[in-house]
Amino acid sequence: MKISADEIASVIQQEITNFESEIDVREVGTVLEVGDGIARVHGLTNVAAGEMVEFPGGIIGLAFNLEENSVGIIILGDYLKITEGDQVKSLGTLLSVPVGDAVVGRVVDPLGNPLDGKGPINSDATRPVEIIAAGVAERKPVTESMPTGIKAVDAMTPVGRGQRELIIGDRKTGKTAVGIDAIINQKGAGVKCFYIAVGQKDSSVAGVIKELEEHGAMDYTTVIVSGASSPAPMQYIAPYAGTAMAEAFMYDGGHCLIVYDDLSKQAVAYRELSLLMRRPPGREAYPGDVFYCHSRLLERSVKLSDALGGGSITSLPIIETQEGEVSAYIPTNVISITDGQIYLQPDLFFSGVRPAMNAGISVSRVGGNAQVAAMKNVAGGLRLQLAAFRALEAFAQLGTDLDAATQADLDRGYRMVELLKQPQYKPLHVCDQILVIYAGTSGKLDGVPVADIRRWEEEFLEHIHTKKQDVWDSLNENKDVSAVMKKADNEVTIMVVAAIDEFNQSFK
Amino acid sequence: MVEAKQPTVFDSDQQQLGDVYARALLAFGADAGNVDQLVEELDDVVDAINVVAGLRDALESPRIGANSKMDLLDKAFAGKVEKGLLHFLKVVGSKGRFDCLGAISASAKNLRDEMSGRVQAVVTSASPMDGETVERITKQLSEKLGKDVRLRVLVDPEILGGIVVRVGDTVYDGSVMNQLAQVRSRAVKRASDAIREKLDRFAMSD
Repeated sequence: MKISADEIASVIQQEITNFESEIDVREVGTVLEVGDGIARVHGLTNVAAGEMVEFPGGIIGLAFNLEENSVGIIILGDYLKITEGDQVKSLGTLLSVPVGDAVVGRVVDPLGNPLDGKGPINSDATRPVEIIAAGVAERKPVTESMPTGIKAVDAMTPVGRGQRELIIGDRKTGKTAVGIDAIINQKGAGVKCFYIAVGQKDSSVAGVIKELEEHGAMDYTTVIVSGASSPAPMQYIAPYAGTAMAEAFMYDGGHCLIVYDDLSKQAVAYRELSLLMRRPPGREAYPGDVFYCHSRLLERSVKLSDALGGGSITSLPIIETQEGEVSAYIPTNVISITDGQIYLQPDLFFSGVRPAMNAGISVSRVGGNAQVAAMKNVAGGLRLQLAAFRALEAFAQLGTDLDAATQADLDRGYRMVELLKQPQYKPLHVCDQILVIYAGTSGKLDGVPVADIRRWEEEFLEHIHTKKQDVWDSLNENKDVSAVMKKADNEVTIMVVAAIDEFNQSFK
Repeated sequence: MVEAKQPTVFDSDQQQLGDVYARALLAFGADAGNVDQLVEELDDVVDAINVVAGLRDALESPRIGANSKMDLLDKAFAGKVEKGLLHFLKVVGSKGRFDCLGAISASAKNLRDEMSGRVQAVVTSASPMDGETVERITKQLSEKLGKDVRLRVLVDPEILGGIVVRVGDTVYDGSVMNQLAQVRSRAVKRASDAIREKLDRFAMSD
């Protein structure tokens, strides 16, 4: 190391010379009992709810419950080092986390401490973890698209910048994969991504970080980890901390994507805290304000008005259901808060339809306005068609003879399902998606055997990119024109049809 | 309840009951004009009950009838405490709330202080202070707080020098220990900031 000890010594000496003694005035309390990540404290008469307090050894806590004779504190740190009788000091400030470019590409805990061994986070800027979301006057409708790169999602449940789209499904149905693909697809789009792991196995989080690194996504992504072994208070504040980091970019006019993986675990952590604090349990033993816990978090995903710079936070919260039970407490809560949901089904997943999206009950309530015009034209009726196909398929399994028209519908459906399959970590550009979905919906694939559909897609896209780049380019330029891919006499449509026909002739 | 030996023994239910009984006692005392006497005597009674072996157990026990407890109280305290206080103790006994007596006494003291504009303060110094200094501190504190300050003096060599004053939950820390800690944390912060600014110079030299 080239820095000299003298230099540091002089800095310290300066500090000592300039030290002015001031009387330190603080408000204190005494720990009555401590355990399970919470402490009950006597004293702290003037502490406010949500205010930071400090235990001996610099351990931070938050005033959570203000009772008549004591204060309930949630401890953000190692509560085993706190003992009965310790003095607690109120700090008079709210919890904040470091924000700004210094956190990008890092793996941090919910307090902003680095976990990746890449040195300290050099940031002077901080933001409070809990803020009230932007009001109606500060917002703008969602109109810009936020492509996830997943055909099924972008075609049927499009997501716009500033939208909250819930990813819901049983365990092992590919929920995280949808979020990760969406993050990988933001490469080069100038969108800052935040992956907030709450209550996950540390091994799964390590796997996700490795995939993000391999696909070059860590350059614009921050991972906030509060694993299964973290105390409940850390798991509870992790989503708010991650959102605060994203807000710094949003209020600077930037765009962010947050994946909350997952909010059911956060609700469980909040339930644990509330029960320890002796708040009355409600349905499924969750406290009465568990709805507010999620609504105030997701309300912070907004599209800001032009006056405020037009920044946005798009969020993809994840909820895990038990045995497909979407009518449980937390799933219904979050479904009602978000602007739509992507429902992933285990039986589809295991029959090889991946992403295993159920087209019937997956919706996007605002994304349609944000969808690229050309995509809207090719995929407009796709979701309802697929839902109808599923009903028809169930009927056809009875072995009844079908008339030719119904059989044709069924065949088209099989091809579309095949076409919407997509391997993990391979997000597609929106123009690629438009081309292949157009081929499917316009019947150009009716002559291709179902088993060959995915090979057709792969070879067709390669053909376009190697031999017909001009078609792709003109589609990319005109994808926002409303007539493109809608009117048969449109110039771009003609080019695309010609390219597909030409490729079909050579496809074997 | 024994008045908290350890500051962390704290029962909020007893405290709540204690507040109610204490308010009643003080209201009674205010009418009779002997609040201070009542509160001091109650404190003595609590001490006596804690000191005399078995008395506390007997008074708190639900197996001993109310009448026997009344007799016991008469024998123990009649003539020694204010008549009103004896009646009060009998009421507490007949309601089976003797376990709250410590909380009642503590609460009565606080309420009396509050009513008469008095405030308890604890001063900690590194070495014992002479009477004059204590008086000066009391006077200055009384002026600052606008209240009649009752001072409790503690000695704790660990603070090295200066004094620490605690009034209620507010601590005014002018100890040498605290100043050293402040210097330390500021120096560490400045030094780490200085290193951070010149981070590029931290190339590992081979």
